Amino acid sequence: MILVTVGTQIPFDRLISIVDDWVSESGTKQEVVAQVGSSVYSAKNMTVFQSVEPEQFEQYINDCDFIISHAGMGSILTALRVKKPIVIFPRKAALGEHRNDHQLATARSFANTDGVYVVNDKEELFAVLNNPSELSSGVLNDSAEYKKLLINVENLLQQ
Amino acid sequence: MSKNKVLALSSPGGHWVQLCRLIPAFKASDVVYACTYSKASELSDDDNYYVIGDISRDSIQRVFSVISGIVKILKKEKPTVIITTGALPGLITILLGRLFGIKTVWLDSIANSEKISMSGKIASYLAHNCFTQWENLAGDRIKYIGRVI
Repeated sequence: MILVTVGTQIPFDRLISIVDDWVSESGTKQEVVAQVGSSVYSAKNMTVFQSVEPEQFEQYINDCDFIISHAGMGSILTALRVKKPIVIFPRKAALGEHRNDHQLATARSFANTDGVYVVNDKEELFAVLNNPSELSSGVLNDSAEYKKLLINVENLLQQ
Repeated sequence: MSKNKVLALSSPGGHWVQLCRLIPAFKASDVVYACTYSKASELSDDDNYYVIGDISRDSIQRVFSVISGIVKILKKEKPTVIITTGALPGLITILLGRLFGIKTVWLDSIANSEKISMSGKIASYLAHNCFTQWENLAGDRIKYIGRVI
């Protein structure tokens, strides 16, 4: 199963329609489940949900082979935590897909992270989806910077 | 000595995932959580969790009900520290926290890797402590103390 997720705040029908097109063009037999937000696009080849409660989302994310997502930190951190490959497609403010272009910045920042695959358009996404065996998962390590954050926050809260 | 009491609050999605990454730092404190989910699956049943209204710049008309919900939490739980990873509900809580005389901490989302968020910039004037997760973005009012990954 492939899980598509775009968060709940603003729809991202450009991504949803591209994935829908890929399902039909590739003739894949894989099930595709998409969390689409307040979408107006009607997907023909996928199971869609407007939003999914965290518990149900956890189920989908554990069951899927990989994730296709907008470049949201929740999706990226969750994919790393459950060790699933994630393909991220950043939203663009110029297309009315977000209030600003921080998702492009996120995509640039995570482009070299293991298990995170950045795509910027239909061709790049299709190329990745047509070779899913090349996707590998990343991991959410307790890095030195994370441990430092925890110690600093704990000390700050005690002061 | 009585424990300090922390209110950890954020918007859903990435903000909440990052707030949950801070849970190990709360172990020495009493902690109250708040987010927009009807149930927070990251927390255990023993955790003290409140549901708040969701709001963003696109849904500002809900601001008064969100404020009244947060004020209720502040009055009932009387936190000594507020920590938030954003976004707008976090900023509102920081402002209310200042009015209630509560210590306030803002941790800007790791998504903001090239510039501080609009909310973060405002928070840097309001919160007692304001942090970025990108060392290159640190400055006079916004410090770097580590990151969630």
